[in-house]
Amino acid sequence: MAGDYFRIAKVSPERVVYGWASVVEEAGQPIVDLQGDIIAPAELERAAIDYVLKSRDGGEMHERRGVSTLVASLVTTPEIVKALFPAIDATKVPVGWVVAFKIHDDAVWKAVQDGQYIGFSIHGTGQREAVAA
Amino acid sequence: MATRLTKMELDEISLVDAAANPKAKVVLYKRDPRGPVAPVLVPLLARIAKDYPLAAPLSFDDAVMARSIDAIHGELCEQLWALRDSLSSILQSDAADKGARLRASMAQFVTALDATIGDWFDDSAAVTKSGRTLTAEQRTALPLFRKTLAGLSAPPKEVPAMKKADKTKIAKHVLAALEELGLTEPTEDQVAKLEARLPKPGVAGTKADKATIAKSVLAALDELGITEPTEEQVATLTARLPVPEEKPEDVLKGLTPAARALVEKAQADAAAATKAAEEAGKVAKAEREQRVTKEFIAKAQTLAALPGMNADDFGVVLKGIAEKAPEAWAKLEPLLKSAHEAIRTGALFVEKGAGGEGSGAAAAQVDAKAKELVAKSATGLTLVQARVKVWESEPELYAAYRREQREEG
Repeated sequence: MAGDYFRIAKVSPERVVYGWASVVEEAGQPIVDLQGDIIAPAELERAAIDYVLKSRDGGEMHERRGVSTLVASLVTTPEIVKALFPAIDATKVPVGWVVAFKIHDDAVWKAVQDGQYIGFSIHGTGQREAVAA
Repeated sequence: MATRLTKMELDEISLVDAAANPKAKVVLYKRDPRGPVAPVLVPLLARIAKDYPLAAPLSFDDAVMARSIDAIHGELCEQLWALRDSLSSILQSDAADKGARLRASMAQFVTALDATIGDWFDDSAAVTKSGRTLTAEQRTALPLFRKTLAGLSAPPKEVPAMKKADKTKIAKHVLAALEELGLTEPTEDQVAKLEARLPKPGVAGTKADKATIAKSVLAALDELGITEPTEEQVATLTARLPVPEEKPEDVLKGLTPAARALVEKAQADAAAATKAAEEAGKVAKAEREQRVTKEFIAKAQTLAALPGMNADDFGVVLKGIAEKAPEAWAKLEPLLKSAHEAIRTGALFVEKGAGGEGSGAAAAQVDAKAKELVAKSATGLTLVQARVKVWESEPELYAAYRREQREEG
């Protein structure tokens, strides 16, 4: 997985979970999620900035909030990847949103360590527009 | 078909066991070797994390303060971990005087904590605690930290009264909008917010670009007969017309798979129920139409003496009249019945002779075929009408019949 590239990042060392909040393009092709949705990279970048400025709240299964706090955020648009990692072929890096959360809740931390929680899921509002075939 | 998500407003990101986005994976986590953070620190950390977001640019002073706060956190944490270790070891031990030991440990913790707090807020230059030194720079930041801590428990400050706006400096279109809102003494803040939301007044006489005009405004211009609107006209209408409501759709990525399934099932059930009701309505309407049509065909059959009567067709005509003009139908129905009776009993249409008109072979054939038609007719065909039909359908037979008539004549 292209997420390995970001293990070089030096961030807060304790009880921090790293991963992809969303991947919207890979090898130039849009990723369609399990609900049939796609997100434009520019829209993801805008929404990510907005979320960092206004919320940074991390939850558990969308049933409980305040269990973690966002401590790192990077949207991997080709422009950003080229600027940060000139030695890397930017076309091979997924376009997505890398996040890191500091986990405050013991049970959630244990669930991460046990492999129960393996992914991230975004929550909010938006509008759906049909995409021409 | 895929859908594109736009205008997203995200408020939370959850750790989940199965993400909707197939690539949204946890790829790395770093373990805290000391165990969980004491719960008492969680709100403090969360609050400080929000006050000093990583995304915000830090000045040197901010950075010094942040590092000072980190040092204090570290010290406080060490004391809390030590307390936890001490209490845990006492509880798990075989000591007979656990209660006394617990109280002693707590007292030591309080003393140490008190001393630490005293150090944090002492004015002396440098402090060494547990082998670590807080630098003078770090200590200069402590008052700021104290302010931050005070802010955590301080009641919210009252919002100062807003300054009134100078009306002579407010743009005309903003003034007009303020009057419509009933704001006779607007504050500067209200004026600024309203001005930001109102469209800029267009330049008089300059033609507007239709491609950039909202659909609702275009429709209003069309109704007004304005085919080449100016920017001013567009701006005026835009400010006056209600903004079409755009309801954000719940992205629903926030729901668990089970909850999502329940919501989608409820939506599908509601759609199916609506469709079923519509279908039932259509069936009921069709059945009613069929029943009423039959009733009018039956009425038409009772008017069989009328010339050219075809009950199936005439019944539909009568139904249309009755439904669209019930008053006219109320007058027409008795008239038709009277006409039917007059024709049926009138001398003009009285049949002469038992075998019909004529006595030759052709006349007999016509008569036989006409009777056959009358017998088969479901619309009350008379013998005269049946003979006409036979004549029309069999011209050669009709010619033979006419020859017989002439010969007999």
